Amino acid sequence: MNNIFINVNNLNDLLTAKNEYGKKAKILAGGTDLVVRMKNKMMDPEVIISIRKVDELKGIHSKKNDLIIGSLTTHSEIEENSSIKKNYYPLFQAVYSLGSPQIRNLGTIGGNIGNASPSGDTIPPLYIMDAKIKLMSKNGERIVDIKNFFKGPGKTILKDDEIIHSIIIPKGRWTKKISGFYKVGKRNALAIGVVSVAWIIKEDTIRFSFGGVSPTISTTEIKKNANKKKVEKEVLKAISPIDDIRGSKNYRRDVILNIVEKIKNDNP
Amino acid sequence: MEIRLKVNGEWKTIDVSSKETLLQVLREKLHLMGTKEGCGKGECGACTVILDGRPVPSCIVIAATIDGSEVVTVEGLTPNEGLNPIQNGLIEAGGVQCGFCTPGFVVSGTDFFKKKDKFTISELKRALSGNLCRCTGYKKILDGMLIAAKKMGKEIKDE
Repeated sequence: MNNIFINVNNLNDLLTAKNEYGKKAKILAGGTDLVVRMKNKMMDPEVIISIRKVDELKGIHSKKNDLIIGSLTTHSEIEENSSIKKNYYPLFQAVYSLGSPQIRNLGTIGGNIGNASPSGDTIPPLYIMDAKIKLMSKNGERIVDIKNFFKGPGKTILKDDEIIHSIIIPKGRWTKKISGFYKVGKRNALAIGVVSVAWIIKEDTIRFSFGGVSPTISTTEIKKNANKKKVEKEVLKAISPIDDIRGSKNYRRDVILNIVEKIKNDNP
Repeated sequence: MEIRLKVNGEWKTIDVSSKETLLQVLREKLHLMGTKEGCGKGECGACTVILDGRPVPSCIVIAATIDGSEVVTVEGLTPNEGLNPIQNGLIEAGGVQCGFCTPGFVVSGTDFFKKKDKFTISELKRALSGNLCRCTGYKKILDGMLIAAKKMGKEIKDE
């Protein structure tokens, strides 16, 4: 197909273009997913809107009560941010283990969220940190809880004229001591996670979010003193793993249970 | 559409189609053949170039999106006379066998040492983790990088 290709240089032009082309238009940010799909002929959007030059969507800003991450911020930029490494450790670990250096230099957090893959690495950490997503269109903006953003694999509540503007994380101190992210894939670099787990300790409870074991991210809370049987019951209630190219349903279930058990044992 | 790119220090005006990748532009329009196409989907690192200061897989960068950007390829990292320390290190250590992945490793390694004067072995390995080699088993590539590091006066830190 002869695609219409549009380079937008600022947020206003982007919103105008998205308003005009709606569903026909795909946003091209880092391209680590979209370009690969286009090359594999899995996708051929009528209109491609490249947003690489939209500076308003870039960067990490600290506000009084929130940390704001622009949707066009790359994984490398998140990884290099000292505040994220110190106080938003699960997110740091997720971007640290994502893709490869080259992919982290291109891929963006907005793209990772917008693709809505059940294995999107940045999503489980954002879930347990109660992140919100700011969506914007020519006609206004809205802020939604990340938990309400995903409808299923590849599906979100994003309207045809909307874009992901930024990610809002309430200020917190999720340090290395009390939180983390764990991913199991075929190898370290470039493997899509088979399963992933983000966790945070809150007093006598550990909050978990799981990637790769249900249509969207799933969450659960487990008391630190819960016995193995109780833990298993709670985890299995939260997840609904399937067989796919990367792993079987049973493998996913067993790996998740083992990771939860390990995190529990490591944090008595 | 027409784009302008600063390639290896020189501004070029290039006519590109909407799907053309940076890799295609470099090889087919600018005849810079050092950058290789391996997997074609951003996973093997053979096509790595420096785009605006960071290594990226040029096979999944749509050229039309980077108008005004600066690109450095392996040719741009190679001196007019002879080779750079990393290229020499790889030769000395036997880190080049079929050679197809080598330009990508040279780009990733050069970028790493440009940004770091002191490094740990795991930092170096991580910087090279997006480059695949199917011949050497990586040991000799790493040895070559360490020979280069020594020549460039870089300091290895404990883990």
